[in-house]
Amino acid sequence: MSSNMIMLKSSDGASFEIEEAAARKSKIIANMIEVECVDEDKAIPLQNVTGNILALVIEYCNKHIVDDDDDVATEEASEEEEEAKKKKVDDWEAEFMNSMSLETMFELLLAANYLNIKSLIDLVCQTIANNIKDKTPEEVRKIFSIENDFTPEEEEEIRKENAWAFG
Amino acid sequence: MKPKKKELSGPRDMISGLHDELICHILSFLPTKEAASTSVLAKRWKHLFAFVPNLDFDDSLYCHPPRTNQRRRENSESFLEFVDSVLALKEQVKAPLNRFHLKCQDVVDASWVSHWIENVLKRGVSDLDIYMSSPWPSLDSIFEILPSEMYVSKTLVRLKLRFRGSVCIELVDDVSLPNLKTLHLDCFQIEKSMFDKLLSGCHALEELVMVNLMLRWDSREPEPLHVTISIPTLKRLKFCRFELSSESVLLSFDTPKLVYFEYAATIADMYQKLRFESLVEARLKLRMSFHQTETDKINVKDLLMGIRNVKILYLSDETLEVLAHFPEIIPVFKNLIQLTIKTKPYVQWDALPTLLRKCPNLQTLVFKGLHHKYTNRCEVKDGCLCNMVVHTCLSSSPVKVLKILKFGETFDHDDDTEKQIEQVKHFLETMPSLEQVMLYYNTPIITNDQDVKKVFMKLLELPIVVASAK
Repeated sequence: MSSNMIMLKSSDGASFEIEEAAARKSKIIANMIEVECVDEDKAIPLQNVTGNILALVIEYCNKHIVDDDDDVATEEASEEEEEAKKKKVDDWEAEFMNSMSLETMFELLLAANYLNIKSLIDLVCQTIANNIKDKTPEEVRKIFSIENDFTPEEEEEIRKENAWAFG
Repeated sequence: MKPKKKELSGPRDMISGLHDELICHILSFLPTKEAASTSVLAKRWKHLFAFVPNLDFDDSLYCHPPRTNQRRRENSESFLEFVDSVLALKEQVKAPLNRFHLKCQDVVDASWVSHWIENVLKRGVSDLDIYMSSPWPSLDSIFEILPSEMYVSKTLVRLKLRFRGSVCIELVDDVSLPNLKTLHLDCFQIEKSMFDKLLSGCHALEELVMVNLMLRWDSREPEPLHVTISIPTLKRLKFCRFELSSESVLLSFDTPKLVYFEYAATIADMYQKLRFESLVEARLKLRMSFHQTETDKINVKDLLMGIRNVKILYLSDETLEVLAHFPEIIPVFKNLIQLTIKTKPYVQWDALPTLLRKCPNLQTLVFKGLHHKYTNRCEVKDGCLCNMVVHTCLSSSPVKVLKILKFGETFDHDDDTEKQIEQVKHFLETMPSLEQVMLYYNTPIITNDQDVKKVFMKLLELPIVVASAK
C-alpha cells in the first residue's frame, strides 16, 4: 500500500495526518485530490468539522481502508470466513458507535454528510434508527428531546389514521 | 440548517436540526411500521416518513400476536388499511418510491396485494419483493394470477416473488422488462410457453433464481420437453426444479457470461447445450432418479464436461452418492483450485479418490462436515480417503489448505469427534503439500467448554495444526 500522507485541518485548528487512501473514503476530499487542489505541504481546511469529530471520522476511515484491501485479497473465501470477517467489522462498528453520546453521533452524521462518506452516513443513520426501533413515540421524544407540538386531539387523529402502526 | 447553534439550557433536540433528507435516510433503516409511528412525534414529523423512498411492510410485526382467528382477521384488515393509506399518502405528497417489500402471512384477500403491485409499478418502483407466507392452506389457491403490469415495466430492476403455497404465472401479453437485472422466483407454476416468453422479455438480466419451479406443458409439446435458458447478459443462475417433478427434461444453458451456477436436478435430466465459457463457480446438487436408466450416466457426464473449467466447485452429499456409481465419468478439472465436499454419515467416500486425482491444481479442499461411512472399499488402496490404508490420491495431493467446516458435528455414536480427529491426523500425515489446516468447530449440538477443551488438547497433539474455534 502506498503511504501517501495528506493533512487535514479541523474548524478549531487541529491538524491530522491521514493516508491518502483512507482520506479518499470522503468523496469531497477525493475530488479535491483529483483536481489537484491539494498542496503537498498544506493542510486541507475542513470548516464544518471540529477536531474531536474529525478524529472519529479518521478512525473510521483508517479502519475501513484495511477492510477494503482484505476483500480483494481473499476472493475465494468460504461463506464461513466471509461471515467471520463481516462479524469482525460489525463488532468494531458496534463498539465504535457505542463509545459515543447521542450528541456526538449527530455531529458525526453532519460531518460524514459534509465530507460525503456514504458508508459512515449509513452506519450512523442505522445506529440512530436502532434508537427509534421498538420504542413508543413517548420514549422516542424523550431520547431525542423532541417537543410535542400537537394537541391531544390532533395526535389522536393521526394515531387513528395509521392504527396498525401503533398496534 | 444551523445545527451548530449552542443552546444554554436543557438537552438539545438534535434530530430536528437535521435536513429532511437525512431524517428520511434514518427512517429508511426502519420497517415502514416503525417509520410511520414517528408521525405523531411532532408536527414536522407528520408526513416525513412518507418521503422515505423504500416501503417495507411485514404483517407479522405486531406487539401482541393475535391468538384467535377473529383477532387475526382484524389485524389483517388493519394491516391492509395501513398499507393502503401509506400508498395514498405517498401519492398525495408526490414522494418518490424505489422499493416495495411486502411480507404477508395473514392477508385475507390477495386482490389487495395485486392492487398494490399495480399501484407501485405505476409509481415507477425499481425493487419489488413480495413474500407470501400464508400458513392458511385455503389462501394458497387465492393467489392465482399476478397483475400483468408486473411483466411490462421500464423501471423494474429487481423482482423477487416467493410464495409458500405456489403461484401460477400467467402471461397474457408480451413481456418487456428491459432494465430488470435480478429476477427471483420461488415456488411457482408456469406453462412451458410462458416460461419462454418470460425469459425472452428480460434483456438485461444478470441474476436469475428459479427455485421450486413447476413446469407444466400440454401434450402437443414434443417429448422430452426442451427447456432453454438463453440469456447473454446472465452472470448468476440458480436453477432448481421442484423436487417432486418426475418428468425429465432436456436442458440447454446458453449463458456465455455466466460466472456462478447453482443447480439441483435428478440425473434423469438431459443436456443439449451447455455454454459456460465464463463460469468460475458451480454448486451441484444432483439426485438419483426414480427409475435408473442407461442415459443417467451420459447426462451426468455431459453436465460435468460442461462445467469442467470452473475454479470453485461445491458438491452436495447426494452428488457424491451419484458419482460413486460411475466415478469413471469424472473429467479432469484442470482449473479447479477450491473443492468443497458436503458429507453425511450415510454417504460413502468412494468417488473422492478419483475426484481428487482429477483435480491436478487443487489448492484448497473443504469438507462441510467430516462424516465417513465405512465400506469394504475403505481397505482398498485408493478406494477411500479414510485412515485404513495410505491412499496415493492423498500422498500425491497438491492441496495446500484443508478446511473442515462443522468439525465435531455428529449424528450418531458411530460418527464421533474422536474419529474425526483421527481423520484429520491422517490428512496431516499423508498430504505432503499441506500448509494450513483450519477446523471450524461449530457444531449445532450444545457442547460444554470442557468438551471443546478436550478436543482442542487432542488437536494439539497432532503434528501441526491451526485450530480455529467458533
